[in-house]
Amino acid sequence: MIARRFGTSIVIPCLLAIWAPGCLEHEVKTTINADGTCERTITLNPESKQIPKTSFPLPGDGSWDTSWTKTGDAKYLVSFTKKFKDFEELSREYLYPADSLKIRLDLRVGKSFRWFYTYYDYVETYGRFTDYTLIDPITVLTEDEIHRLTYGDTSQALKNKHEEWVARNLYEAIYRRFGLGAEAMQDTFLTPATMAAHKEELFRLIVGWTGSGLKLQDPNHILKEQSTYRGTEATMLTDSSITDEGVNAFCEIAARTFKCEGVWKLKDQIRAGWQDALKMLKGKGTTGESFANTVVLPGILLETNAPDVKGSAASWKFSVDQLQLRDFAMRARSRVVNEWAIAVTGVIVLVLLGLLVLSLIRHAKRAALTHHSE
Amino acid sequence: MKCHQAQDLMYLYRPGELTGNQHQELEEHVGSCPACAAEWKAVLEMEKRVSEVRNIEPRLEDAVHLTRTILRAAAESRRQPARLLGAVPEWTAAPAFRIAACITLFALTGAFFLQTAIDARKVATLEGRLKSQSTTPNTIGSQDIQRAGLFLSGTDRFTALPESLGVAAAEISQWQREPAMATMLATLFGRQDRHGTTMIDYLSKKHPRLASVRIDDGFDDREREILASDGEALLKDIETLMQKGGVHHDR
Repeated sequence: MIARRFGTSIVIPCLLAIWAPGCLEHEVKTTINADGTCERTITLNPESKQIPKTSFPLPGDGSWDTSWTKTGDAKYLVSFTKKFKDFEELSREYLYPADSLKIRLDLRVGKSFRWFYTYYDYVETYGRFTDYTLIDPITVLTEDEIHRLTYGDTSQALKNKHEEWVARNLYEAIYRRFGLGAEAMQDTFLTPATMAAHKEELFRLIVGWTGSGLKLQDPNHILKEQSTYRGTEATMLTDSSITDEGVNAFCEIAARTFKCEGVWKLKDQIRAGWQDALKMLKGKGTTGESFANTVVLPGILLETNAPDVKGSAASWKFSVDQLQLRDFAMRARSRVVNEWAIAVTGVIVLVLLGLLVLSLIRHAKRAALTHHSE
Repeated sequence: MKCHQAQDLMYLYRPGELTGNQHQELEEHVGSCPACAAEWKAVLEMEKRVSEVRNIEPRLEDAVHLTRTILRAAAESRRQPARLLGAVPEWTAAPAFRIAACITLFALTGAFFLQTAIDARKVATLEGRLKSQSTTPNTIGSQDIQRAGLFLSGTDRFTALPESLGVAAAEISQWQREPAMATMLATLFGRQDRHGTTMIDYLSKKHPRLASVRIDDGFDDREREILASDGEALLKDIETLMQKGGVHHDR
């Protein structure tokens, strides 16, 4: 059966799946060395000795060393390791045309020489990865809320708003088919203006919207309660489709909202719209994937947006769902002391100080002699 | 006459400087004493050479040369008061050099300390942020507050609050007996600033509607509305205060 609510139907199973056995965990470790060389290791835990289907862009060429290990819990660990001679070579590894089924990675490592210190900048971005592309998140969430959700804020009010955004995407998929059908029907009572005027009203009815940030209601329950199926045992929605009763209930509610009985002629479009929404809900089949990204930089860490830092290693852990709203950018900056530069500067300072002192002594003696001879 | 008297007279001897009597006594002693005779011979020889030098007439050009040589030597001796200073190039004595050296020293040391100070500040900021995320009852971080689910519109999540903060079960029951959210928050965030103001006093004044929400009887519609509208703002304030370390920072 389809999940209880539009929003939770996708969010909660995904969150649970992260912790449930069987989810695909990706461990990505990048080591940046002071001499410019790098090493990257990607480790996955598939259940069989086969490269798993994953949203993460795994290396496709033979330049990576691959090793398989069997773990105690009847799982496997597969590791891909590659050494890079410089930062550019590492960045080039992910310069390929975007694949809609894979997360777009952008990896940049920079080195800036500042005499006393050399700074190393690491920025790795996992691109936005979602099927909910019909409604921009900014229409429901603020930039700050989007940022907090992306970086792991789990407060309930934010989750509710996220669910609302998911629900609006699903509703948009239904509404688009519905709108196209209405346009083709050319019913004088179901004009585009009428549709637009009541679009939000219908959404609020379907999800039981009571306010921004508040929980949404189960559409299965709403469809039944708001229609003549109230009190019956009829099923409105299944895991894969909307039932005939569900379509009828939707038409009933829509007819009441748009004050037009013509919507009953749009049953096929409504059904197709629900299919689109369910397809969107199923997504790319990457539910439950999680990522543990670690970078080890030379020297000491100065800045990072990582929640976990150990020595000069910064780590981020996130799920594929956190990529729904925005790109997930991981940043770290470290510093290496140029001891030779400090030594050279120390010598220069000492020589200058010596010359300065001698110059002042000479100046003082001359002044004294001149005074004496006068 | 004795030897020492004779030798005194020898060195006083100049034609006409000794009396006739002294001259005679000296000659008699020298005639009888071989040691004084040898001495007397040497004195006469020296006197003869000095007389020759006295007879040389100084020429004008030599005097000028001599004067110049003496003056140059004097100037050089004045110019080289110490051996170390003599090794230092002359241009280092110029005031321009001293100014340039001071600017260079200031720039080099300033750049080093400035760069180091900026980096140290960044490290401190990073450490502060990481510390604020640590999960201990005494150092409640923003992540804990967010995880706490403090302002859920449902009542069931309230018990998630102490668990995420690692607080003892006895304290949970104590909170549940207390009727007001303000009391619960006071228990959680009750530390005082230097003026004796607890964080909850400060927050209660800033969010008076939230302070009126009761947690022991579930939330009614009005309370849900208050939590939804003011809850996020309060969380933000708590987070900011936690990060800054006290109420007084926000004044």
